[in-house]
Amino acid sequence: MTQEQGIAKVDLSYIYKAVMMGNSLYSDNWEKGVLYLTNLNLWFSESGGWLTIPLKNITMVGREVTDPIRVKAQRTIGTSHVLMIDYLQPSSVVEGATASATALLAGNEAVINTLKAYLQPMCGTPPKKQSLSDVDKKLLYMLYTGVNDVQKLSFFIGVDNETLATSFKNLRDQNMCDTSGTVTEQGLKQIREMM
Amino acid sequence: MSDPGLPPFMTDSSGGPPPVSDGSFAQSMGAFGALLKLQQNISERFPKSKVPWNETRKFLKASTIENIKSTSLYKFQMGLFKEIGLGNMQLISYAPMHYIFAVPNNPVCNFYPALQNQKVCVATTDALHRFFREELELECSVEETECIKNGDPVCKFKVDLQPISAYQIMLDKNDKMILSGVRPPVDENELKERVRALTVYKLLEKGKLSEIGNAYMQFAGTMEVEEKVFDPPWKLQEELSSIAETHNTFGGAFGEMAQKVQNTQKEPAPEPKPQVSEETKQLQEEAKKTDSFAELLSKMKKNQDGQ
Repeated sequence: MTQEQGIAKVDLSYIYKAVMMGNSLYSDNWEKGVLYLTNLNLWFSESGGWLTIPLKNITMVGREVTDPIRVKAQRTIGTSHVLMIDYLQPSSVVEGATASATALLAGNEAVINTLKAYLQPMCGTPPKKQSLSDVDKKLLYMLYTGVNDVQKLSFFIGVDNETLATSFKNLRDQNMCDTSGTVTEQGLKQIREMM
Repeated sequence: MSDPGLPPFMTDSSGGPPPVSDGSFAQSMGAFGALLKLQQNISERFPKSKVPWNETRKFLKASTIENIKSTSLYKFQMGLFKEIGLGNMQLISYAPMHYIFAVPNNPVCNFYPALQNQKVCVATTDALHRFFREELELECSVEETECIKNGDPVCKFKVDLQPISAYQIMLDKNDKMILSGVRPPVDENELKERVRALTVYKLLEKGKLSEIGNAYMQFAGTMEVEEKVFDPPWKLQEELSSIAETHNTFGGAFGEMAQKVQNTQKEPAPEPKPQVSEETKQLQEEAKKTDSFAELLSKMKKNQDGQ
Protein backbone atom coordinates (compact mmCIF):
# COMPACT_ATOMS: atom_id res chain seq x y z
CA MET A 1 0.00 0.00 0.00
CA THR A 2 1.37 3.40 -0.95
CA GLN A 3 1.92 5.79 1.92
CA GLU A 4 0.18 9.13 1.61
CA GLN A 5 2.64 12.00 1.38
CA GLY A 6 2.08 15.73 1.02
CA ILE A 7 3.19 17.47 -2.16
CA ALA A 8 1.85 20.99 -1.68
CA LYS A 9 -0.21 23.17 0.63
CA VAL A 10 -2.02 26.21 -0.76
CA ASP A 11 -4.49 28.80 0.53
CA LEU A 12 -7.57 29.25 -1.62
CA SER A 13 -11.35 29.47 -1.73
CA TYR A 14 -13.39 26.50 -2.78
CA ILE A 15 -16.81 24.97 -3.20
CA TYR A 16 -16.47 21.26 -2.50
CA LYS A 17 -19.71 20.29 -4.20
CA ALA A 18 -20.93 22.99 -6.56
CA VAL A 19 -24.50 23.06 -7.84
CA MET A 20 -24.32 23.77 -11.55
CA MET A 21 -26.78 23.72 -14.39
CA GLY A 22 -25.39 24.20 -17.89
CA ASN A 23 -23.24 27.32 -17.80
CA SER A 24 -24.69 28.63 -14.56
CA LEU A 25 -23.44 28.23 -11.02
CA TYR A 26 -26.15 28.15 -8.36
CA SER A 27 -23.87 27.76 -5.32
CA ASP A 28 -22.28 30.68 -3.56
CA ASN A 29 -21.05 28.85 -0.47
CA TRP A 30 -17.38 29.56 -1.07
CA GLU A 31 -15.17 28.41 1.82
CA LYS A 32 -11.86 30.10 2.48
CA GLY A 33 -9.38 27.47 3.57
CA VAL A 34 -6.33 25.33 2.96
CA LEU A 35 -5.87 22.69 0.31
CA TYR A 36 -3.32 19.91 0.67
CA LEU A 37 -2.28 18.06 -2.46
CA THR A 38 -0.89 14.59 -1.78
CA ASN A 39 0.04 11.70 -4.01
CA LEU A 40 -3.40 10.19 -3.28
CA ASN A 41 -5.89 12.91 -2.38
CA LEU A 42 -6.94 16.50 -2.34
CA TRP A 43 -7.65 17.55 1.28
CA PHE A 44 -9.90 20.55 1.91
CA SER A 45 -9.94 22.14 5.36
CA GLU A 46 -13.50 22.54 6.52
CA SER A 47 -14.71 24.03 9.78
CA GLY A 48 -13.49 21.53 12.33
CA GLY A 49 -12.54 18.78 9.90
CA TRP A 50 -11.33 17.71 6.48
CA LEU A 51 -12.98 16.78 3.19
CA THR A 52 -11.15 14.71 0.59
CA ILE A 53 -11.33 13.96 -3.10
CA PRO A 54 -9.25 10.88 -4.00
CA LEU A 55 -7.17 11.64 -7.11
CA LYS A 56 -8.33 8.34 -8.62
CA ASN A 57 -11.93 9.62 -8.48
CA ILE A 58 -11.15 12.75 -10.49
CA THR A 59 -12.57 12.49 -14.00
CA MET A 60 -11.57 15.86 -15.40
CA VAL A 61 -9.46 18.84 -14.40
CA GLY A 62 -9.79 22.28 -15.94
CA ARG A 63 -13.10 22.12 -17.78
CA GLU A 64 -13.71 25.51 -19.35
CA VAL A 65 -15.04 28.00 -16.82
CA THR A 66 -17.70 30.19 -18.39
CA ASP A 67 -17.77 33.97 -18.08
CA PRO A 68 -20.87 34.05 -15.81
CA ILE A 69 -19.08 31.78 -13.33
CA ARG A 70 -15.95 33.92 -13.41
CA VAL A 71 -18.00 37.09 -12.91
CA LYS A 72 -19.87 35.51 -10.00
CA ALA A 73 -16.62 34.38 -8.37
CA GLN A 74 -15.12 37.84 -8.84
CA ARG A 75 -18.14 39.38 -7.13
CA THR A 76 -18.22 36.90 -4.26
CA ILE A 77 -14.58 36.22 -3.43
CA GLY A 78 -12.66 38.83 -5.41
CA THR A 79 -10.97 36.60 -7.99
CA SER A 80 -11.97 35.28 -11.38
CA HIS A 81 -9.31 32.57 -11.49
CA VAL A 82 -11.32 29.40 -11.05
CA LEU A 83 -10.41 25.74 -11.58
CA MET A 84 -13.15 23.19 -12.14
CA ILE A 85 -12.56 19.63 -10.92
CA ASP A 86 -15.06 16.94 -11.87
CA TYR A 87 -15.02 13.81 -9.72
CA LEU A 88 -17.01 10.75 -8.75
CA GLN A 89 -18.41 10.29 -5.26
CA PRO A 90 -20.47 7.52 -3.65
CA SER A 91 -24.11 7.91 -4.58
CA SER A 92 -26.41 8.91 -1.74
CA VAL A 93 -29.32 7.18 -3.50
CA VAL A 94 -28.03 3.82 -4.72
CA GLU A 95 -25.63 1.84 -2.56
CA GLY A 96 -22.38 0.95 -4.32
CA ALA A 97 -23.07 3.37 -7.19
CA THR A 98 -21.27 6.62 -7.92
CA ALA A 99 -22.50 10.07 -8.83
CA SER A 100 -20.62 12.89 -10.49
CA ALA A 101 -19.84 16.08 -8.64
CA THR A 102 -17.87 19.24 -9.34
CA ALA A 103 -15.54 21.14 -7.06
CA LEU A 104 -14.52 24.72 -7.76
CA LEU A 105 -11.17 26.07 -6.62
CA ALA A 106 -10.42 29.79 -6.78
CA GLY A 107 -7.51 31.98 -5.81
CA ASN A 108 -4.27 33.49 -7.04
CA GLU A 109 -3.81 33.04 -10.81
CA ALA A 110 -0.41 31.36 -10.56
CA VAL A 111 -1.59 28.96 -7.84
CA ILE A 112 -4.71 27.96 -9.77
CA ASN A 113 -2.74 27.46 -13.00
CA THR A 114 -0.11 25.43 -11.15
CA LEU A 115 -2.74 23.13 -9.65
CA LYS A 116 -4.26 22.69 -13.08
CA ALA A 117 -0.95 21.97 -14.80
CA TYR A 118 0.05 19.56 -12.02
CA LEU A 119 -3.23 17.69 -11.75
CA GLN A 120 -4.16 17.36 -15.41
CA PRO A 121 -1.45 14.84 -16.36
CA MET A 122 -1.92 12.99 -13.04
CA CYS A 123 -5.65 12.63 -13.63
CA GLY A 124 -5.40 11.78 -17.28
CA THR A 125 -6.72 14.92 -18.95
CA PRO A 126 -5.06 15.30 -22.36
CA PRO A 127 -2.86 18.39 -22.82
CA LYS A 128 -5.03 20.07 -25.43
CA LYS A 129 -6.45 23.51 -25.17
CA GLN A 130 -9.36 25.00 -27.10
CA SER A 131 -12.06 27.47 -26.25
CA LEU A 132 -15.46 26.02 -27.04
CA SER A 133 -17.56 29.01 -26.10
CA ASP A 134 -15.67 31.00 -28.71
CA VAL A 135 -16.63 28.42 -31.33
CA ASP A 136 -20.29 28.98 -30.41
CA LYS A 137 -19.97 32.74 -30.85
CA LYS A 138 -18.18 32.44 -34.19
CA LEU A 139 -20.71 29.93 -35.47
CA LEU A 140 -23.62 32.12 -34.45
CA TYR A 141 -22.14 35.13 -36.24
CA MET A 142 -21.39 33.13 -39.38
CA LEU A 143 -24.92 31.78 -39.47
CA TYR A 144 -26.16 35.35 -39.06
CA THR A 145 -24.16 36.50 -42.10
CA GLY A 146 -25.66 33.68 -44.15
CA VAL A 147 -22.70 31.30 -44.25
CA ASN A 148 -24.28 27.94 -43.48
CA ASP A 149 -22.33 25.47 -45.59
CA VAL A 150 -20.90 22.90 -43.17
CA GLN A 151 -17.58 22.55 -45.02
CA LYS A 152 -17.01 26.31 -45.05
CA LEU A 153 -18.08 26.69 -41.43
CA SER A 154 -15.75 23.89 -40.43
CA PHE A 155 -12.86 25.49 -42.33
CA PHE A 156 -13.37 29.04 -41.03
CA ILE A 157 -13.87 28.09 -37.41
CA GLY A 158 -11.03 25.58 -37.60
CA VAL A 159 -12.81 22.69 -35.92
CA ASP A 160 -13.83 19.20 -36.97
CA ASN A 161 -17.41 18.36 -37.90
CA GLU A 162 -18.08 16.74 -34.53
CA THR A 163 -17.13 19.92 -32.62
CA LEU A 164 -19.18 21.96 -35.05
CA ALA A 165 -22.19 19.71 -34.46
CA THR A 166 -21.77 20.09 -30.66
CA SER A 167 -21.58 23.84 -31.00
CA PHE A 168 -24.64 23.90 -33.29
CA LYS A 169 -26.52 21.83 -30.70
CA ASN A 170 -25.47 24.29 -27.97
CA LEU A 171 -26.85 27.18 -30.01
CA ARG A 172 -30.09 25.31 -30.66
CA ASP A 173 -30.44 24.34 -26.99
CA GLN A 174 -30.04 27.97 -26.03
CA ASN A 175 -32.62 28.92 -28.66
CA MET A 176 -30.09 31.02 -30.59
CA CYS A 177 -30.94 29.36 -33.90
CA ASP A 178 -33.42 26.86 -35.28
CA THR A 179 -32.70 23.46 -36.80
CA SER A 180 -32.13 24.98 -40.26
CA GLY A 181 -29.48 27.36 -38.87
CA THR A 182 -31.65 30.47 -39.07
CA VAL A 183 -30.77 32.85 -36.25
CA THR A 184 -33.68 33.46 -33.85
CA GLU A 185 -34.68 36.69 -32.06
CA GLN A 186 -32.71 35.44 -29.06
CA GLY A 187 -29.69 34.83 -31.29
CA LEU A 188 -29.96 38.30 -32.82
CA LYS A 189 -30.05 39.80 -29.33
CA GLN A 190 -26.87 37.87 -28.48
CA ILE A 191 -25.16 39.12 -31.66
CA ARG A 192 -26.07 42.73 -30.83
CA GLU A 193 -24.52 42.23 -27.38
CA MET A 194 -21.39 40.69 -28.91
CA MET A 195 -20.97 43.62 -31.28
CA MET B 1 -13.77 29.07 10.93
CA SER B 2 -12.28 26.80 13.61
CA ASP B 3 -8.86 25.29 12.89
CA PRO B 4 -9.23 21.67 11.80
CA GLY B 5 -5.58 20.94 12.68
CA LEU B 6 -3.40 18.82 10.45
CA PRO B 7 -5.04 16.51 7.89
CA PRO B 8 -5.03 12.84 8.98
CA PHE B 9 -2.39 11.80 6.43
CA MET B 10 0.14 13.97 8.28
CA THR B 11 -0.50 12.35 11.65
CA ASP B 12 -1.03 8.75 10.53
CA SER B 13 2.21 6.76 10.51
CA SER B 14 0.83 3.67 8.80
CA GLY B 15 1.92 2.53 5.34
CA GLY B 16 5.29 1.85 3.78
CA PRO B 17 7.55 4.06 1.71
CA PRO B 18 6.49 4.79 -1.86
CA PRO B 19 7.93 2.61 -4.60
CA VAL B 20 11.15 3.97 -6.11
CA SER B 21 9.68 4.08 -9.63
CA ASP B 22 7.16 6.74 -8.50
CA GLY B 23 9.91 9.33 -8.06
CA SER B 24 10.75 10.68 -4.60
CA PHE B 25 8.31 12.94 -2.76
CA ALA B 26 11.04 15.49 -2.17
CA GLN B 27 11.27 15.65 -5.97
CA SER B 28 7.49 16.05 -6.28
CA MET B 29 7.37 18.85 -3.70
CA GLY B 30 10.29 20.62 -5.36
CA ALA B 31 8.64 20.16 -8.74
CA PHE B 32 5.40 21.74 -7.55
CA GLY B 33 7.35 24.73 -6.26
CA ALA B 34 9.23 25.04 -9.56
CA LEU B 35 5.96 24.81 -11.50
CA LEU B 36 4.48 27.52 -9.28
CA LYS B 37 7.48 29.76 -10.02
CA LEU B 38 7.00 29.19 -13.75
CA GLN B 39 3.30 30.08 -13.51
CA GLN B 40 4.19 33.21 -11.54
CA ASN B 41 6.57 34.20 -14.35
CA ILE B 42 3.77 33.70 -16.87
CA SER B 43 1.33 35.74 -14.79
CA GLU B 44 3.87 38.54 -14.52
CA ARG B 45 5.30 38.60 -18.07
CA PHE B 46 2.39 37.78 -20.35
CA PRO B 47 0.21 40.82 -19.58
CA LYS B 48 3.17 43.01 -20.68
CA SER B 49 3.60 41.10 -23.95
CA LYS B 50 0.69 42.27 -26.09
CA VAL B 51 1.68 42.45 -29.75
CA PRO B 52 0.17 44.94 -32.24
CA TRP B 53 -1.60 43.52 -35.29
CA ASN B 54 0.91 44.98 -37.77
CA GLU B 55 3.64 42.76 -36.25
CA THR B 56 1.39 39.67 -36.08
CA ARG B 57 0.54 40.31 -39.74
CA LYS B 58 4.23 39.98 -40.71
CA PHE B 59 4.39 36.69 -38.80
CA LEU B 60 1.24 35.35 -40.48
CA LYS B 61 2.31 36.42 -43.96
CA ALA B 62 5.77 34.85 -43.69
CA SER B 63 5.49 31.69 -45.73
CA THR B 64 8.67 29.75 -45.00
CA ILE B 65 10.17 28.61 -41.72
CA GLU B 66 13.22 30.83 -42.36
CA ASN B 67 11.00 33.87 -43.01
CA ILE B 68 8.94 33.19 -39.90
CA LYS B 69 12.07 32.80 -37.81
CA SER B 70 13.34 36.17 -39.02
CA THR B 71 10.27 38.06 -37.78
CA SER B 72 10.60 40.14 -34.62
CA LEU B 73 7.51 38.46 -33.18
CA TYR B 74 8.98 34.97 -33.50
CA LYS B 75 12.27 36.05 -31.89
CA PHE B 76 10.38 37.76 -29.09
CA GLN B 77 8.13 34.76 -28.44
CA MET B 78 11.01 32.30 -28.30
CA GLY B 79 13.01 34.61 -26.00
CA LEU B 80 10.02 35.16 -23.73
CA PHE B 81 9.27 31.44 -23.41
CA LYS B 82 12.91 30.70 -22.63
CA GLU B 83 13.13 33.44 -19.98
CA ILE B 84 9.93 32.22 -18.35
CA GLY B 85 11.38 28.72 -18.03
CA LEU B 86 9.58 26.90 -20.84
CA GLY B 87 12.80 25.86 -22.55
CA ASN B 88 14.41 26.43 -25.93
CA MET B 89 11.38 26.32 -28.24
CA GLN B 90 11.86 26.23 -32.03
CA LEU B 91 9.48 26.22 -34.99
CA ILE B 92 10.09 22.99 -36.90
CA SER B 93 7.15 22.73 -39.28
CA TYR B 94 4.78 25.16 -40.95
CA ALA B 95 1.73 25.24 -43.18
CA PRO B 96 -0.52 28.30 -43.42
CA MET B 97 -2.27 28.65 -40.06
CA HIS B 98 -0.63 25.48 -38.71
CA TYR B 99 2.61 25.58 -36.76
CA ILE B 100 4.59 22.85 -34.99
CA PHE B 101 6.97 23.91 -32.24
CA ALA B 102 9.53 21.59 -30.66
CA VAL B 103 11.25 21.85 -27.28
CA PRO B 104 14.35 19.66 -26.84
CA ASN B 105 15.27 18.81 -23.22
CA ASN B 106 11.96 20.35 -22.15
CA PRO B 107 12.29 21.53 -18.52
CA VAL B 108 8.51 21.15 -18.04
CA CYS B 109 8.90 17.35 -18.20
CA ASN B 110 10.96 17.55 -14.99
CA PHE B 111 7.89 18.79 -13.08
CA TYR B 112 6.39 15.30 -13.12
CA PRO B 113 8.95 12.93 -11.57
CA ALA B 114 6.29 10.36 -10.71
CA LEU B 115 4.74 10.14 -14.19
CA GLN B 116 6.01 8.04 -17.09
CA ASN B 117 4.77 6.97 -20.55
CA GLN B 118 2.40 9.86 -21.08
CA LYS B 119 2.30 13.43 -22.33
CA VAL B 120 2.60 15.88 -19.46
CA CYS B 121 3.39 19.37 -20.76
CA VAL B 122 0.16 21.14 -19.84
CA ALA B 123 2.09 24.25 -18.77
CA THR B 124 3.57 24.66 -22.27
CA THR B 125 0.28 23.86 -24.01
CA ASP B 126 -1.55 26.44 -21.89
CA ALA B 127 1.20 29.04 -22.30
CA LEU B 128 1.16 28.69 -26.11
CA HIS B 129 -2.63 28.91 -26.15
CA ARG B 130 -2.62 31.97 -23.90
CA PHE B 131 0.15 33.71 -25.87
CA PHE B 132 -1.60 33.22 -29.22
CA ARG B 133 -5.06 33.98 -27.86
CA GLU B 134 -4.43 36.88 -25.50
CA GLU B 135 -1.21 38.50 -26.70
CA LEU B 136 -1.74 37.99 -30.46
CA GLU B 137 -5.58 37.86 -30.41
CA LEU B 138 -5.48 34.70 -32.53
CA GLU B 139 -8.01 32.03 -31.60
CA CYS B 140 -6.44 28.62 -31.87
CA SER B 141 -6.23 25.10 -30.56
CA VAL B 142 -2.97 23.78 -29.14
CA GLU B 143 -2.12 20.15 -28.67
CA GLU B 144 0.96 18.38 -27.41
CA THR B 145 1.64 15.72 -30.03
CA GLU B 146 4.91 14.25 -28.73
CA CYS B 147 6.49 14.30 -25.29
CA ILE B 148 9.87 13.31 -23.90
CA LYS B 149 8.02 11.74 -20.95
CA ASN B 150 6.24 9.54 -23.47
CA GLY B 151 9.49 8.28 -24.95
CA ASP B 152 9.74 10.80 -27.82
CA PRO B 153 13.06 12.55 -28.54
CA VAL B 154 11.58 16.06 -28.10
CA CYS B 155 8.29 17.59 -26.99
CA LYS B 156 6.20 18.84 -29.93
CA PHE B 157 3.22 21.20 -29.89
CA LYS B 158 0.80 21.71 -32.76
CA VAL B 159 -0.84 25.13 -32.98
CA ASP B 160 -3.82 25.36 -35.34
CA LEU B 161 -5.11 28.87 -35.88
CA GLN B 162 -8.79 29.48 -36.35
CA PRO B 163 -8.88 30.79 -39.95
CA ILE B 164 -11.54 33.39 -39.33
CA SER B 165 -9.51 34.87 -36.51
CA ALA B 166 -6.26 34.71 -38.54
CA TYR B 167 -7.92 36.43 -41.54
CA GLN B 168 -9.26 39.18 -39.32
CA ILE B 169 -5.76 40.14 -38.22
CA MET B 170 -3.84 39.23 -41.35
CA LEU B 171 -5.92 41.20 -43.85
CA ASP B 172 -5.28 44.92 -43.88
CA LYS B 173 -7.15 47.57 -45.85
CA ASN B 174 -5.19 46.90 -49.07
CA ASP B 175 -5.81 43.13 -48.90
CA LYS B 176 -9.53 43.75 -48.48
CA MET B 177 -9.45 46.02 -51.53
CA ILE B 178 -7.89 43.19 -53.56
CA LEU B 179 -10.56 40.76 -52.34
CA SER B 180 -13.22 43.30 -53.30
CA GLY B 181 -11.77 43.48 -56.83
CA VAL B 182 -10.24 46.94 -56.42
CA ARG B 183 -6.55 47.62 -57.06
CA PRO B 184 -4.92 49.08 -53.93
CA PRO B 185 -2.43 51.97 -54.15
CA VAL B 186 0.69 49.78 -54.03
CA ASP B 187 3.46 49.05 -56.55
CA GLU B 188 3.47 45.99 -58.80
CA ASN B 189 5.84 43.95 -56.62
CA GLU B 190 3.84 44.52 -53.49
CA LEU B 191 0.63 43.70 -55.31
CA LYS B 192 2.12 40.40 -56.50
CA GLU B 193 3.30 39.60 -52.98
CA ARG B 194 -0.13 40.31 -51.53
CA VAL B 195 -1.88 38.21 -54.18
CA ARG B 196 0.55 35.38 -53.44
CA ALA B 197 -0.21 35.54 -49.69
CA LEU B 198 -3.96 35.65 -50.31
CA THR B 199 -3.63 32.63 -52.60
CA VAL B 200 -1.59 30.72 -50.01
CA TYR B 201 -4.35 31.44 -47.51
CA LYS B 202 -6.99 30.14 -49.98
CA LEU B 203 -8.81 33.44 -50.30
CA LEU B 204 -7.83 33.79 -53.97
CA GLU B 205 -7.66 31.05 -56.56
CA LYS B 206 -6.05 31.66 -59.96
CA GLY B 207 -6.25 35.39 -59.31
CA LYS B 208 -9.95 35.33 -58.52
CA LEU B 209 -11.94 35.28 -55.33
CA SER B 210 -12.22 31.67 -54.16
CA GLU B 211 -15.30 30.16 -52.55
CA ILE B 212 -13.63 30.59 -49.19
CA GLY B 213 -12.76 34.20 -50.05
CA ASN B 214 -16.32 34.82 -51.15
CA ALA B 215 -17.75 33.39 -47.93
CA TYR B 216 -15.24 35.36 -45.85
CA MET B 217 -16.15 38.63 -47.52
CA GLN B 218 -19.81 37.78 -46.97
CA PHE B 219 -18.99 37.27 -43.29
CA ALA B 220 -16.54 40.11 -42.75
CA GLY B 221 -18.03 42.67 -45.14
CA THR B 222 -20.38 44.07 -42.51
CA MET B 223 -17.98 43.76 -39.62
CA GLU B 224 -16.22 46.92 -38.52
CA VAL B 225 -12.83 46.19 -37.03
CA GLU B 226 -10.73 48.84 -35.37
CA GLU B 227 -7.02 48.13 -35.33
CA LYS B 228 -5.29 49.31 -32.17
CA VAL B 229 -1.86 50.79 -32.84
CA PHE B 230 0.81 50.60 -30.13
CA ASP B 231 4.48 49.78 -29.73
CA PRO B 232 5.47 46.09 -29.71
CA PRO B 233 6.81 44.80 -26.39
CA TRP B 234 10.28 44.31 -27.86
CA LYS B 235 10.67 47.93 -29.05
CA LEU B 236 12.72 49.12 -26.08
CA GLN B 237 14.99 46.08 -26.28
CA GLU B 238 15.58 46.68 -30.01
CA GLU B 239 16.33 50.36 -29.43
CA LEU B 240 18.84 49.52 -26.70
CA SER B 241 20.57 47.00 -28.97
CA SER B 242 20.75 49.54 -31.77
CA ILE B 243 22.25 52.16 -29.39
CA ALA B 244 24.87 49.63 -28.27
CA GLU B 245 25.81 48.98 -31.90
CA THR B 246 26.18 52.66 -32.84
CA HIS B 247 28.43 53.71 -29.95
CA ASN B 248 32.15 53.03 -29.78
CA THR B 249 32.50 53.54 -26.04
CA PHE B 250 30.67 51.93 -23.16
CA GLY B 251 30.16 55.31 -21.46
CA GLY B 252 28.45 56.86 -24.49
CA ALA B 253 26.17 53.88 -25.02
CA PHE B 254 25.34 53.63 -21.33
CA GLY B 255 24.38 57.32 -21.08
CA GLU B 256 22.00 57.13 -24.03
CA MET B 257 20.53 53.84 -22.85
CA ALA B 258 19.86 55.27 -19.38
CA GLN B 259 18.14 58.26 -20.99
CA LYS B 260 15.99 55.97 -23.15
CA VAL B 261 14.97 53.77 -20.23
CA GLN B 262 14.13 56.82 -18.10
CA ASN B 263 12.00 58.28 -20.87
CA THR B 264 10.00 55.08 -21.28
CA GLN B 265 9.35 54.62 -17.59
CA LYS B 266 6.26 56.36 -16.37
CA GLU B 267 6.40 58.81 -13.51
CA PRO B 268 5.76 56.79 -10.37
CA ALA B 269 2.33 57.44 -8.93
CA PRO B 270 2.39 59.48 -5.71
CA GLU B 271 2.01 57.34 -2.64
CA PRO B 272 -1.59 57.39 -1.47
CA LYS B 273 -2.07 59.28 1.76
CA PRO B 274 -3.94 57.33 4.39
CA GLN B 275 -7.30 58.72 5.40
CA VAL B 276 -7.05 60.05 8.94
CA SER B 277 -9.55 61.46 11.39
CA GLU B 278 -9.61 65.12 12.49
CA GLU B 279 -8.25 64.08 15.86
CA THR B 280 -5.28 62.34 14.28
CA LYS B 281 -4.63 65.35 12.02
CA GLN B 282 -4.48 67.63 15.08
CA LEU B 283 -2.16 65.17 16.74
CA GLN B 284 0.13 65.13 13.70
CA GLU B 285 0.28 68.94 13.67
CA GLU B 286 0.99 68.98 17.41
CA ALA B 287 3.76 66.41 16.97
CA LYS B 288 5.51 68.69 14.44
CA LYS B 289 5.65 71.49 17.04
CA THR B 290 6.87 69.22 19.84
CA ASP B 291 10.50 68.38 20.58
CA SER B 292 10.10 65.07 22.40
CA PHE B 293 7.71 62.15 22.61
CA ALA B 294 7.30 62.72 26.40
CA GLU B 295 6.26 66.34 25.75
CA LEU B 296 3.70 65.17 23.15
CA LEU B 297 2.20 62.64 25.57
CA SER B 298 1.93 65.31 28.23
CA LYS B 299 0.09 67.67 25.81
CA MET B 300 -2.29 64.85 24.78
CA LYS B 301 -3.02 64.13 28.43
CA LYS B 302 -3.78 67.81 29.08
CA ASN B 303 -6.12 67.94 26.06
CA GLN B 304 -7.98 64.84 27.22
CA ASP B 305 -8.32 66.25 30.76
CA GLY B 306 -9.62 69.53 29.35
CA GLN B 307 -12.38 67.83 27.27
